[in-house]
Amino acid sequence: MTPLLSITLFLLVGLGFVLVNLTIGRFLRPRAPHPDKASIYECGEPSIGTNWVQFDLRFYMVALFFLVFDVELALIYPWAVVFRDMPGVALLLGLPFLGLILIGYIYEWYSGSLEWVRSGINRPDEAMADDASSQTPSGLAALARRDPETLSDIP
Amino acid sequence: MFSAQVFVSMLVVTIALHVILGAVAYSVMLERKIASWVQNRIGPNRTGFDFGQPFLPKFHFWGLGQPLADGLKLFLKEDYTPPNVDKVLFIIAPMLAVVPALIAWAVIPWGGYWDFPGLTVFGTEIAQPGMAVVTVAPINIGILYFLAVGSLAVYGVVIGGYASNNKYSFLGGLRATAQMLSYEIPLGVSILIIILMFGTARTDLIVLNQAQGILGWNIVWMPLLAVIFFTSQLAEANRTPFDLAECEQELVGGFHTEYSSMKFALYFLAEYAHIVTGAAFFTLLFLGGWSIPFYVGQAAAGGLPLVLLNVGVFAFKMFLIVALVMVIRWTIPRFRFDQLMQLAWRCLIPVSLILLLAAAVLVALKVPAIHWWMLGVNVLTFIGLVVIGPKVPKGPPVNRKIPLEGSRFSPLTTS
Repeated sequence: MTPLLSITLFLLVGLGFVLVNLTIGRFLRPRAPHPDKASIYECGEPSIGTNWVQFDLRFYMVALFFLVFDVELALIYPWAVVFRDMPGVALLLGLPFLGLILIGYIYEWYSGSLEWVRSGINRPDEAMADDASSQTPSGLAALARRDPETLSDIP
Repeated sequence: MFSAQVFVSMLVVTIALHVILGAVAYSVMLERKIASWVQNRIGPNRTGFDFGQPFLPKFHFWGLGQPLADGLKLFLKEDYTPPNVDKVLFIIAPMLAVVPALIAWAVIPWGGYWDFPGLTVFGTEIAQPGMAVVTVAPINIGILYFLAVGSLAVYGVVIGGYASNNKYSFLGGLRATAQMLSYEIPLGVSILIIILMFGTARTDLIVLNQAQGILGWNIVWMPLLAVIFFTSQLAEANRTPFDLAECEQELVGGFHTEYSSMKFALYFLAEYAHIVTGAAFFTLLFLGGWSIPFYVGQAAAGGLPLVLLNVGVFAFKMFLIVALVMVIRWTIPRFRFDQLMQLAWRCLIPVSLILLLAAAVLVALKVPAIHWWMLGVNVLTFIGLVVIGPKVPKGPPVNRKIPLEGSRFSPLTTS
């Protein structure tokens, strides 16, 4: 109970510090609103559209991997603490668990999920395979094959 | 009335918070000074404690008044909340950034064990005598608490970036999230190995296990692990070379672009508080905490002089680490974002998992002189990393560049 009390005390002191800092200035600082200050700062360009949009899936993948590994870590902490008391059993139980994670990790590695930069159209093999099978080029390869004169019809 | 531990805890709460906040303020000054030394400049040396006011006595003191003047200035600046932001989240976010960085200090064992003599004022006993750890909370899940609180730091950054309704802030927030999530895993695994080796998650016991002169310190026996922890800690604190979340050239200020005045100052404070927290945990995990180098017979518990000496030793080690972090900032250029993620997922995580497996097997086999074995494993892993690392197959090429036809790299021109 005592440690909980002191941590709560510490948390309260920390919160108090932040709140005091945020409120003290309210009585000291100037207030000079201006329409230009209200605009979004994007290096002087007028901002286009709202910012609250859907975004790239890659961050989602990172979050998924993190979830797997972090759950593993959280489960394995008690294992590490009691490891010395029953090393044989702990190792026997821990190794398959770590092995499963390792298998998943190797799969992630070789499925290319760990690559950060990847995009749908950036698949040279598929694009070139398409190219070889049919005479009408498609995808980015088609874009690459255009003559400079006809480039003007690309929007 | 109070037990010794409660009294000491309260004492530490009162003193530590102030001392460390002062240290954080002055680490900004240290950063500017180190930057100037690296770049062959002089750095801030004018602002004294007279703050340029004629009615105060002239007292320069090598520019040491600079942090105070900066803080004062930030109080007096206009705090502008743009109308298009999410107001509630916009105000909560800086608090969420600072508070976790502050409360992580609760489990740091600053000065070992204090043989507390008790305190009696005017015949009333305020604190009973007894043995107390000089820390805020001597909990047996100390390191776990550090990890849990450290994870909360993500929220301040991502909510700040989201609430600002600014594209730079949003990108900065996203980057910071991905980066902090990725580097939390090697951080966690390296802490896990220490727990495995010592069989405890109490911070004071981890230090006590190392307190045998310099040859007890973990950094001597697990240098690779120390490097992994340090790197992850740099990334967790959003420091160069991992400060992709706030890189000026691409994202202006990153997640704090729209912040001003005290809210900006809180973000700034959070960054430096993270550095200090990271340095404290590096000290206690790898540098033997309060243990004096080259002195073996250090008593574990003692009176006030010993405690003060311990705190001094701890603080000095922390200072060295903070200075190292700052020198790194002005020496190493910034990573690219894909390189950053590759470093976490393709290097630090597998290496730390290998070290974890090796440590588990070594502890289970109960080998004699486990420290030497661990050093061997670290060195072997490092050699393996250098030799085998580049030869590991990279997986399918999902990111091959398509050269435009006509360029000299194009395979299409030859067909």
